[in-house]
Amino acid sequence: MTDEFDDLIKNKTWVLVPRPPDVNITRCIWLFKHKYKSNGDLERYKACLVVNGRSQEVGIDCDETFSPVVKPATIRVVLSIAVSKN
Amino acid sequence: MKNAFLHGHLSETVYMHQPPGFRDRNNSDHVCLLKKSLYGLKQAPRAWYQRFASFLSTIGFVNSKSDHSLFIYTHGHDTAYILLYVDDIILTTSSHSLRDTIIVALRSEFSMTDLGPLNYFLGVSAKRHSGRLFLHQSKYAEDIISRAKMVNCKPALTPVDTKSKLSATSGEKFADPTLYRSLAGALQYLTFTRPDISYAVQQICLYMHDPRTSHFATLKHIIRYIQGTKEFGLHLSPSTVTNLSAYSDADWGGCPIPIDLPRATVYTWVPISSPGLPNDRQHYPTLVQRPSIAVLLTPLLSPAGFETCYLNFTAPFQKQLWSIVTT
Repeated sequence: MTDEFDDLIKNKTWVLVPRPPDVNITRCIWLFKHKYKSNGDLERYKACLVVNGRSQEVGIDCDETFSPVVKPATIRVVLSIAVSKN
Repeated sequence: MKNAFLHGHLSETVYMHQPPGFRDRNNSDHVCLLKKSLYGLKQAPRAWYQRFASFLSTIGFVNSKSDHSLFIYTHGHDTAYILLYVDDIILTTSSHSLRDTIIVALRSEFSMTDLGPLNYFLGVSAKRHSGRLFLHQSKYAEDIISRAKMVNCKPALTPVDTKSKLSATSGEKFADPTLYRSLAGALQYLTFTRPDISYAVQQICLYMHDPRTSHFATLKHIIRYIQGTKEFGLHLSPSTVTNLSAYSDADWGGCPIPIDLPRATVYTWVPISSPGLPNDRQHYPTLVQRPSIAVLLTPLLSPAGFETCYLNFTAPFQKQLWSIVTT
């Protein structure tokens, strides 16, 4: 967990600032994934810091949202061209 | 791509509580002003997309207008396409050296793993054989069958009964609408490599909001058809293309839902191959169902009775391919 925290700091994910008045502050929690060795023994808990998106307010903390999801038709077209051009 | 969402830069001002267990002792009442994106943030996928897209534009890729997840690079005879599905990337290039150059450039900016030649992508398996590509979703088809608890069902020869149309309001309500919706959605994803079921699936999807037992029987019929044809898929074979042709079959007024839904059923498929292929059903080069083409065609159709309309768009291949196929 310390490793993951250090990575976030190294990645300059945030800066500490005094709490401004009248702003929404989102909550965050640590999630732990169980990582197993190949023989099935527990190796370690992998920690991941996640934000609770539900504590965000649209228009204040985020404007537009978008997910980069490709259309199936595009995939077929690109693969078709790739095959045609070998 | 590793930890894709952590790469995004945040443009909005977002404050977050200090992580539990890691409060700064000297500034315990401070809060974190986020600079980079974190998992769970509503804008995380968008921040990641913008970061990736702006990096690609610095190395010469242009974003396709018709699909934001497609990036195109052209320089002389060199061409490359990048498809982005959240953190999965497909790269296809005209030469090996170009591919290596692009991978090196991407590696210098993001931490990523090269999985080598395409063989499995979004549940679709891709197999190469003698210059052709075969796409299939056998594993996914099996998953659907077992989700419907129909592992030992008898296969059906056809996906749908040709005689009767479903009625929107007759019959008993189906007891588990969630199961219906989940299976209908799964079948819809299966149409990726199974154009043969796209009509049948479109029909059952019309009743997602209020499924009846008769609709579920039709859905099970499709699954029984899948049971006998699990290994079906799409063959993509090389072709020398000069023209792009679009074919459409419209059934005006054939839609059984009377008022609140569009009344025409229009199917369009666009073979990227020479004209004259529509009878060759084994090849199915590319099937595209495009509402926009339906919109384009609808005013041309006679509003009375049933109408079948075949149109032949001819367009110079390279320039207009994208605008017609994916706009």
